[in-house]
Amino acid sequence: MIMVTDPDYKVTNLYGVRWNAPEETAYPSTFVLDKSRTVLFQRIIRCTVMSTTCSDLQSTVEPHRQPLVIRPNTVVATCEKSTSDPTRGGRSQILAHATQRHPLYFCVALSPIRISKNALKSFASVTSGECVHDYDSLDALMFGIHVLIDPVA
Amino acid sequence: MGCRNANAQTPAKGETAPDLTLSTLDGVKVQLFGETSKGTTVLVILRGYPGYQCPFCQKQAHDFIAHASEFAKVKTTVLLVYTGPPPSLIDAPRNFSPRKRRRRRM
Repeated sequence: MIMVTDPDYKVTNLYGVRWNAPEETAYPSTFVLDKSRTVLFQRIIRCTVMSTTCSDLQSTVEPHRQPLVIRPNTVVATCEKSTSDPTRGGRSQILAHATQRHPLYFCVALSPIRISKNALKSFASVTSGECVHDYDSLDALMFGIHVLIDPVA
Repeated sequence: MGCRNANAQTPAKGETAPDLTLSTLDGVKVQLFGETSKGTTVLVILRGYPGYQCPFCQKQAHDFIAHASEFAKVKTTVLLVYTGPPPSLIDAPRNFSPRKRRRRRM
């Protein structure tokens, strides 16, 4: 990781990303170059509320990296049961299930449902960036995370 | 000013990027092609200081710093470019502006 400065906009102009507006500097830009200096990835953000993240570059920088694979019926996490209902204390396991309809869909069942939204979001954030769930389900809460799962493993 | 069109010189995917030489905060010269010869290079051009520290650029820089070891594992160099003059150089001329001086007299 090297931090360099471009005080006179040399690079900004050279790469055509100068933000030509009062008090502005450069459009936030990200380029991935290979050994032959060929651009593998290029993104220029033309607004002030976005940025390119490391995960956006993963497939470019690590093309050989295998996606996370979870086998069905393996314990992928444990979570605290509700603290508001003492009779349901303890820990429950979260199992992975594959569906034929969505082989790439990672589905977990939490039963009984007494888990706060924050706990779910916390779990989802450490497991995957994307989470689909139904807070209103009665005795079991199903939610899915888009991660590769091997349905025949 | 000589500012070019934002789209005119931008190297597109598949094109060859132009070389550049910049300095680190310690004054060490860094040549882009010197880094690309070692492996994959990520060039991140930040907004620098457009009158304030851009929170999204800060978040982005922290994101890259937090993942530094992962980039190192795949032999990828990350070049973070802080664009524009440092804040102290921007603020200094303002201190001498007529408007500022008037305020001081009041």
